[in-house]
Amino acid sequence: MTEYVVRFIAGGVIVSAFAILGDMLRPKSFSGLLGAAPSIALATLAIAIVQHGRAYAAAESWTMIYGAIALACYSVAVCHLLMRFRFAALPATTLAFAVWLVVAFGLLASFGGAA
Amino acid sequence: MLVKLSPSALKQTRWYEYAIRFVLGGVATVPAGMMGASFGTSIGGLFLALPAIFCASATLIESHERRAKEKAGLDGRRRGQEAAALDAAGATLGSIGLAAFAAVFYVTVPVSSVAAFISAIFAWAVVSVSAWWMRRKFRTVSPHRSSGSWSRSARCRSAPQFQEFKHLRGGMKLFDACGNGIPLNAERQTCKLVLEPQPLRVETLFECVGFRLPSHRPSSEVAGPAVGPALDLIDDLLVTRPHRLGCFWLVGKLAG
Repeated sequence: MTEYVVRFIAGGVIVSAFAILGDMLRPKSFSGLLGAAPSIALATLAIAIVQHGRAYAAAESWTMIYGAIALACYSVAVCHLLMRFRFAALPATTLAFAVWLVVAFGLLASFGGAA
Repeated sequence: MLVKLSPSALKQTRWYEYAIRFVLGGVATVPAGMMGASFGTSIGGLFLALPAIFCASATLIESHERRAKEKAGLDGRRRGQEAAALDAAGATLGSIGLAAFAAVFYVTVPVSSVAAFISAIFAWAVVSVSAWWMRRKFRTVSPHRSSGSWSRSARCRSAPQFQEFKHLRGGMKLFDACGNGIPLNAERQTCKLVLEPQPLRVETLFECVGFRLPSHRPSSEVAGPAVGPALDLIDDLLVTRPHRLGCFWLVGKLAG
């Protein structure tokens, strides 16, 4: 239970910090960079190193690369849904999640995890 | 300056929106760790790049921009969509940095944990900002130059980073997407438009050309049939990438 609380607080603080920084930055395309900030990764990897050691964290970071590629594809899909098909933000970001899943698990299936 | 830090922008965000982000951040972090514990490091690592926060961020950005435009009495739906799309475009570039973060972390964590975090964050920042800067830098004007006729300019396929209306002696001069000058009637004035998403009030722009908007009237009621649509257009131009044809339409309306 303590672990979940620590994860919740750490993740919330880091995500909020990046979000506040993103709100203050202009232009909006630059502040969008922080939408892909490693906020969840920082909290999770830190806890993983404490709990399981550095080898565990290294293995997770390898497949995080696939997740990052999937995130890029997801963002492109969101952009197109908003601009070309004129979706609102909430349905666009929700629907595009399917793209993330397909790309992320596709890459994992194709290339495998860390050696 | 290319990038600005504007603390006053924080006033746009309501307190519950900060709370939502905190809660979502925490809620997204908990399963990311649980995935690794339940299904192994391969699956767990994927969820470190989960776009869980982006959904809330994009929705908040859309609502902020829509509200700002609706305050001026205009329909803000499209503006909100475009602002969220711009944020998504930035996130695409940031994802490249995120991949660099993961790669650097993978390489350096066997040596030292602290060094791994520092170098990985540094790699994320450098790669993301570089990708953003390169995208801005290499959006080039089309190499095809014409004599500046309206229809030839409209066929340009590339958009410059900036388009400017320059106030020169003898009148305003507009440079189109191909870099050709489009002379305007000296008696007609127009605004200097910087077609990057900068926080610039539409009213300020129109005061430059002698339109003073009544403070308590919707801007579309200002005299002149072209002003209302022109306000919408300028507002859109300020949010996103240059809309070349729209820009030319505006010039046509103002120049007569």
